[in-house]
Amino acid sequence: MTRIVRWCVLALAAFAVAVPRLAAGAPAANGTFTFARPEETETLDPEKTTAVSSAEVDYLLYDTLLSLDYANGVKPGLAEKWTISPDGKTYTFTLRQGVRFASGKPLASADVKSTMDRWRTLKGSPTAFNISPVESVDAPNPATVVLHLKEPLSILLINLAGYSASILNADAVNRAGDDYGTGAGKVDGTGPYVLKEWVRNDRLVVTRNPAYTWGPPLYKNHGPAPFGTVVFHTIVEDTPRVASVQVGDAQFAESIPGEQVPALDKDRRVHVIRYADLNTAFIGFKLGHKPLDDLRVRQAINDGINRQEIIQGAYYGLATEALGPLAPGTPGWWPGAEKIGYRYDPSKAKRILDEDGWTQPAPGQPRQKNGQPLSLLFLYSPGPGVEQLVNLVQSELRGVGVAVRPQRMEWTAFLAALRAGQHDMFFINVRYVTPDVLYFYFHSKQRPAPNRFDWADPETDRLLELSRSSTNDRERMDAYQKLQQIIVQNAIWVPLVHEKRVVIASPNLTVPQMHANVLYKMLDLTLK
Amino acid sequence: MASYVTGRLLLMVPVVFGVSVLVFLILHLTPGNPALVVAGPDAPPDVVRDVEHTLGLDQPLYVQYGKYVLRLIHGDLGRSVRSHEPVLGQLLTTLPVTIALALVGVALTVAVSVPVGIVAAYNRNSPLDLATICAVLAASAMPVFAVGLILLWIFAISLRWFPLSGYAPLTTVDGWRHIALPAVTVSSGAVALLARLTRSSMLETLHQDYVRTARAKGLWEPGVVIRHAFRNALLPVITIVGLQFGFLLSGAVVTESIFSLPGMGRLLVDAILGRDFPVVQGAVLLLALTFVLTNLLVDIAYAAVDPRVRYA
Repeated sequence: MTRIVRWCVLALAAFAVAVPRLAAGAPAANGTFTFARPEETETLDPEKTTAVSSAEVDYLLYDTLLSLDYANGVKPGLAEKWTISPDGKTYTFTLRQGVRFASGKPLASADVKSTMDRWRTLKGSPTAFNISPVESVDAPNPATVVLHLKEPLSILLINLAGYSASILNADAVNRAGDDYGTGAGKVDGTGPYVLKEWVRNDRLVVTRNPAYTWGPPLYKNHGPAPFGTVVFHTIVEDTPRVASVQVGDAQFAESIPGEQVPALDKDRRVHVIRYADLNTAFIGFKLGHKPLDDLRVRQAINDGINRQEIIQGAYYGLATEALGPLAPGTPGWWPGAEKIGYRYDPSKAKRILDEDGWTQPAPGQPRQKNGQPLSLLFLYSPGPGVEQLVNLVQSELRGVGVAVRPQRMEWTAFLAALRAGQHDMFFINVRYVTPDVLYFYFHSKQRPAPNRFDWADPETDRLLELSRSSTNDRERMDAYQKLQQIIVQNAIWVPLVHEKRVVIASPNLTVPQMHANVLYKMLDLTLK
Repeated sequence: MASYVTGRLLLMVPVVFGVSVLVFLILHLTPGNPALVVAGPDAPPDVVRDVEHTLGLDQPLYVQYGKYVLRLIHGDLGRSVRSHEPVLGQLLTTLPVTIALALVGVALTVAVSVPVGIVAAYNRNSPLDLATICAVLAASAMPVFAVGLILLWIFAISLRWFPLSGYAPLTTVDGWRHIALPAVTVSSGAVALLARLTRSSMLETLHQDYVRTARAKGLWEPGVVIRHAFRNALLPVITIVGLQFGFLLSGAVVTESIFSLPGMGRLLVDAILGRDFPVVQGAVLLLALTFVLTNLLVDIAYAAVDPRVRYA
């Protein structure tokens, strides 16, 4: 009997606990914005991660000295103005007044100095190279910060607008030590939101910072933020992630698989948003592996791949043809790629290989030269549409007599194999915000990765260094254009496509424009 | 009995040691390391080297293992290389989710399959026997992800009876609503196995002499079936339940992914894919411990059910 009584009491207690929770858990149309994502935030210490899922949260919790507008132009942020010395080696920033951290502490130049010093010296920071030329940081008065560089770095301003350059409260960093950024109470920034709760692999909840009035100029609303609460919900699988917006649990979801887009376009419960960010999907060649040292072979492969077929078959039409390494719209983009870039021409590909001495013993068999078959190991890591893309490339190249041996690898093993140089060719989609991505991929000192092509050319190196060190914009853009010409003419890559991104929003959410950083600080979003 | 339990508990030390060596070797011999993930695909070569150095990955394997064991002895499982959180904390937040799913899943499995098995055995070869076995077989013939997605589609998306994703503690009503579909999903495969097993085990005992004796004494028939036959048929059932529980503790990865449960399975798989060595090592150690403990509990349960089983 007593046992029954005890159970009843327990059940009642459970109910009493549950009822207010249920009320709180109900979707609050007014004030709560839920963002469904496939990946979990790694850490909220911005200097320790390269994960997009962490960056998306960092932009809400922190601010940066500078901000990026919708066209990736540099605009003021926590710094209201800045000057660059004529030699490009001294940057002086004047901080905005009246900015406070979520903890209430006013922002001072000492915090900026300690953030920059920590970032550039942090052991094992994967992003510290973004400010590697910075030699020292001065804070002559509470409103002024001076960065001294040992050599000019043209992309420094853009790097200072990225999440890695988020300004941290020096005291909070010292207090939390190694735990900084691992949970609520261990994060302090000046951003429009404050971290409230973080249950890993489930949800991350941030609440509005009511004091926030210093939003970047690209927004009409400079603060406070439009939503009382933003919830980041991790939903790995595509179906439930899409469904979360359909049923109204979430108002926004990213990483929408292309094959679902036609059905979602007809679904009145969601609004499909397609947008272009800067990205290039490409096949890279290992030039040190025979016969890929032969330019003619690389050109023939470029001619033998049908990009339109790939756009339809692997991307469901959600991509545009890539003719050069950079997407149109990237600063310094080279229009010449449209003229001399490779377009599908299988007869030209066959002619080049014939002239180069590659003969086909029998139809359907790989070509041979001096007894060596033209057979290439193609490494890739699975992703949406990648399997189809690899199959298309394989069958198209078989048509011109080139045998492709695809090998699928899990992402980390794939990166390791590329670093070890096991590939003849590989597939990757690279995203970027500046043409400086060329420096990462083509400078000879970036071998064996991310220069996974063995490309070592003094003229390329000279132009890449010039693009970083020149303080003359015209000169830099010229350098980028020449670089793209070198890359296309030498057929180091097969540029394939520029992928469009697809996100879905609930129809009552207004998204004025998509940003390179997805929703960035979310200040102009409205929910009816 | 006490000395037996102590002995079994002591046996955990070599088991854990063996597991730690194995996991360490497998992880470090697999291509790829966490520095590649932390630094990202476009990181310059010197950054990757720098991260490798910070993580101590440039040291010889035996040095790395020695350091790991030294820390372990001090109760320090290290920090995740990706989230920089202490591994112990991550394990302690995900373990309750996994235990909840395992407990509810196993309870559901037993609640469905044992009565089905008994009824089927008692009415052997009757249409009822055939029907029940067909039903459970059909349920378990489907792969887990299909069952999960179908349940999700019907009950969470179309009917909206259950939440789409997430987790709440079982002390709340919401928690039970969150765990319901995942529990049905994980038990769908085990139900058939256990029902078949209960049925065949029952068939055997129902024909034993002591059952005939019990009936001859004029005992009440359900009493005969449950007290005399079923109790004796229970040993293989307990074995499978124990195994299933241990299996679910190691994380029902697919189910956790479909229903977005923040459990150990997802933690472990993410950690393996990201080569997050400290998290993988910590999680596998914990799993090995729980597995050994579960097996011990199963052995103790044998003794409780069958007085002939005694551990010296």
